[in-house]
Amino acid sequence: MNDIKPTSVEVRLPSRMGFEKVAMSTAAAVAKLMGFRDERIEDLKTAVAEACINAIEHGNRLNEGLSVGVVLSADADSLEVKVIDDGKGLKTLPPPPQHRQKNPRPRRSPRHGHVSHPGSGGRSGVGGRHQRQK
Amino acid sequence: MQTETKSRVDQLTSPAGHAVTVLRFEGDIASTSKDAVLGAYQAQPKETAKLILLDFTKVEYINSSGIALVIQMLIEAANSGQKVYAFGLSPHFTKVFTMVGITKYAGLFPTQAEAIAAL
Repeated sequence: MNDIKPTSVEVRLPSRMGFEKVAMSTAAAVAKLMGFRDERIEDLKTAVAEACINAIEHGNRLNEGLSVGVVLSADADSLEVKVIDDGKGLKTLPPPPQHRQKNPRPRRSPRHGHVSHPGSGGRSGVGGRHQRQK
Repeated sequence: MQTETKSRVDQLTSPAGHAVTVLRFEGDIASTSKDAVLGAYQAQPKETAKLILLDFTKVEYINSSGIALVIQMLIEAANSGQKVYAFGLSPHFTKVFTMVGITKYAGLFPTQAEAIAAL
């Protein structure tokens, strides 16, 4: 995969604890093909596993009739991961803490580059973008 | 899908002659590991098991629920006046354990020999 064209891999998981490891392994395989460093692959595995656990446990509330979608989108120098559940989201968003701005933008973690959004319209998701580092 | 957590207990003696209890874990450490992690720890008599080592050498996967169990065990140990060190974590999980503050409760060492030497 030296000349990487934009491509994506999709996995659907049952909402059962333990299946996050399938997404974790898939993400690791894609990242390895893209040439990520081993340390970054380990970071990615943890980030993907935890996002899937949240989707299974809190998004789909362990309802095995619902699935969790994981979309890995690779381009030349980055890998974006979206984890999508079928949860209903929050009926109302809690008021933001006073130290936050009134219309907070999605937060980006400096270490993992994760972006999170509150659930809305029957879906919630967590996405992240990992820059390729050799 | 998750690998069952197994735990085993060994009794050692430190170079200084103190009794050391080693809890050795194997498999995944996740929400289903309560008995293997907390159960194994709580089965040890707090009056005599004052020095405890946690062996993660054969653990490949620890998620946030598993880390929560480890933290619960460490808090219980701290409240009981027990000293706990851990060894055998991969560099990644050493980083994660450090990030979540476990080093406030337990020293982390690469190997059993280094952990025992630090007791």
